[in-house]
Amino acid sequence: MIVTVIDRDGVEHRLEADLGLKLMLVIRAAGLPIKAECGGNCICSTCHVYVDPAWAERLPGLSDDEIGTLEAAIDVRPTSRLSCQIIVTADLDGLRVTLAPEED
Amino acid sequence: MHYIQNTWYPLIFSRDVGRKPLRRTVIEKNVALYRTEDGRVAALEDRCPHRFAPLSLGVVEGDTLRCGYHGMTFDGSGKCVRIPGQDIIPVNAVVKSYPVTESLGLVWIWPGDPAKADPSKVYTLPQYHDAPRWTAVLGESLHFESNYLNLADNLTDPAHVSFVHLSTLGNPASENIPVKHQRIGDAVVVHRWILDAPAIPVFAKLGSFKGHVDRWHYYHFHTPSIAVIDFGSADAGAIDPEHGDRNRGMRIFACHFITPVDYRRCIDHWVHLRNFALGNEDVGAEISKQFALAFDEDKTILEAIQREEDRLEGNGRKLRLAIDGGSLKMRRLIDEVIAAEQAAGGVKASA
Repeated sequence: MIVTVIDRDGVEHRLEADLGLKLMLVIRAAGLPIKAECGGNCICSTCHVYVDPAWAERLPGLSDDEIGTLEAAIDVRPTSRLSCQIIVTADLDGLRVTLAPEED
Repeated sequence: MHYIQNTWYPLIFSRDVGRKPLRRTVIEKNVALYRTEDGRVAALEDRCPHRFAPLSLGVVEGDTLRCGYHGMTFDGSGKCVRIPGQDIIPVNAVVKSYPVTESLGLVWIWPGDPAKADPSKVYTLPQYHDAPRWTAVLGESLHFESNYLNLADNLTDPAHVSFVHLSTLGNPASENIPVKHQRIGDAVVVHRWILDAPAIPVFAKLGSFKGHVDRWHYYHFHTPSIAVIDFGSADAGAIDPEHGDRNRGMRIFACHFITPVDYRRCIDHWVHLRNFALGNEDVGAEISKQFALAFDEDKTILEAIQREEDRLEGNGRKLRLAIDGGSLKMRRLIDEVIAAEQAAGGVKASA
């Protein structure tokens, strides 16, 4: 399946994603610049992405931990998610996300 | 710096407060403490309203505290009862008094709205009052040149033990074992079990384990600044992790009652409870000795961190790693309580 990741320069990357992986790992494996400081544990918010509005509703909801960590992130929008909390499943084929700005 | 106001803060060991007044500082408020004739603790703002001399430099007379400069005298409620040289006592000749109570061998103070202070809500541990099964030992007051939240980070963080406390409380067997963290009501609990590993030095010395042990850490953090670390060991396989009764092993509660002094100082009043060698003072002293060594190791690191934070003047960004989940939840809990107090219209000053 394919997910599309738009980097901070607006460039689209069509990435082949294996089912069951955290989206953060797919983005990292493609060499795109997210830090993923906490290794995918919903602690740091450095894998912050904006989900395309057409897809935002189709993702499983946010846990309290994800909501709490996003509260401390920068430039948060209604479509903000932590990509370490999105598991690639078959029904997400075609998902589009944009990398959020990096913290200083 | 913002602090929780409407809460009981641990302030000083009860044994350290007597008839001689002394100063303690909590969340940037200076307090003069003394005991009245019937043994109750009085806590007054430590500043005479006349020339701002610290009342703690004065003298206790009966139930009152007399300023050491010109003799203005206040009762335990902060009311002025005497001004040498005049008969009239003006209405503004008054100092704040703070609600205080005692629990777990400590004096606790309520810096917020006195009308909300309920002594029955002060922190306690049932095991402290369970002499048939537990022994409590009061430790020391350890002064840190460190922000109290950095100490609270340390006390919601089992991961550092594998690296900092190798001669006492830790060993490398735990280095890569993930910590689990959860918010339970107004507390944060961080825990992990380390299975089938060598005993840590303290338990190797005090226990009689046949071989490897299963050991646990459960770090409990309660607002505003209380950490109780339940840790212990049992023969490998003897207790079902997660659901078994930990009282069947050797179990210690290392309790840290932290007084936040100001943004770069705090005092850790530490106490331990244990379910073995009950009443044995030699064992108690040995455990306290090991704790003193271990906490000094934390002090070295935390004070160096504080100096670096001072140097950076608020700049610089710390990495947030997988092991930081417990500390993150602890800080979130404190921020939440502070935000709720501010949303409720701030905190009324003590009368």
